[in-house]
Amino acid sequence: MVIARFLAALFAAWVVGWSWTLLDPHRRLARARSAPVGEIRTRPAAEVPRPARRAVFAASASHDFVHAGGFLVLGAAIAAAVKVLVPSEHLTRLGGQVLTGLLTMAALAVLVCVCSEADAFVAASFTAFSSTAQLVFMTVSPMVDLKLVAMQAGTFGLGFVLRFVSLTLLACVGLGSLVGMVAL
Amino acid sequence: MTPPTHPRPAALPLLLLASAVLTLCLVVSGQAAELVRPAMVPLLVIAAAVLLMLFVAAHVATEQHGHEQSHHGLPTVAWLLLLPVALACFSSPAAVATHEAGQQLVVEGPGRGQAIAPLPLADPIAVPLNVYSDRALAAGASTLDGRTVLLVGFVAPDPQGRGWTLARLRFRCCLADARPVRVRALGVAPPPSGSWVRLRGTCVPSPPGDLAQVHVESVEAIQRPSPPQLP
Repeated sequence: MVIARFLAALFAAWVVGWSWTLLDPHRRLARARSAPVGEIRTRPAAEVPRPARRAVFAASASHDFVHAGGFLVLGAAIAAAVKVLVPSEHLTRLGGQVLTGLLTMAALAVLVCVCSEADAFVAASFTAFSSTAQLVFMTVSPMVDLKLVAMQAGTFGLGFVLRFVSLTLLACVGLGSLVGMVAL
Repeated sequence: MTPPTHPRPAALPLLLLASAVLTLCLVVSGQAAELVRPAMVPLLVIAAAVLLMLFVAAHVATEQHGHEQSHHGLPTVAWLLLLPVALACFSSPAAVATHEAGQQLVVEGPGRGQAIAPLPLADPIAVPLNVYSDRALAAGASTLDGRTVLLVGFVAPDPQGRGWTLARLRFRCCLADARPVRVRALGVAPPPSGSWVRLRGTCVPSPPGDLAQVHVESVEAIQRPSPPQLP
């Protein structure tokens, strides 16, 4: 399972990274919307006096904190609402069939937003599901979840999120199932 | 119309200060140790210190450049950062934890593949709830035969309505992914739900796929341990 998880995640990252590079050579889609301190970036850093550089550093850090933090709160609020309103215990009864099992685990990974340190234990507790479905859960969960999606939407815009999330989800579910069928 | 003489407090320093104060309050009041693993608390202190430095820098910048420029470009979504501050003022993580453990049906299964050594010889012997559950559910459970154990946890209702359960949360990372370890207590009337108790009892075999069970000889009310979750 450890090796399978490593391979599935690595393949998914490769596929998403390469297809993004090939489909969008000028990286127009992934340009960050927020530019906290504009004009000073056009000058070489060495020409700017040290106190001004420090001020720009602090201003950028503060801006990034409140911007990303705001979207993190939004994502966490959605995740908490889902956790309370959607009883994951009932979803686990869908574990019987192969395809619904895979899709349910992928959907759970997006909805419950487990941090990657803990997802293996959570996956292991879903004993009703096949090990391939558990692998899909562990492949999707660090790459796509509600908190990440909210932060990406804030930084790169909705259009980016739609393309990126669907591509990543497809790659994770597809490659996770493939590796699971071969290796588990 | 004359412009207002008193400038409104700038938003960015306010948000940074609020976040730093919230973090420090959680650490000082001990609530942080109930929300994240104790090992992560020092990181929270460092984060609060960095936020305070950013607050000072943002405050100085506001004083120098005036209100308009510093407010320019602050995204609306940043105001959501005040939401956790408000939440911390009006709710307590302890209540959340108890509620959570009472609700969840998916519990930690027994650890797999670990060799089970005999317990030390003390009698009665204090056993962490997860260790008890693992040993009681292990195939051919024999390490608990004839042993009197002391278990610590809080009282939670039994989802199947047979007796009551002793529960304790186990963190992997933080409260959001905490899972309860639960053991069904048999033989005595349930103490008040949510109260912390120490049980003295003996192991009773449980049906396959069910919770570990304990036959209780005596129950003693105790103070809430700190931190309350299992190590």
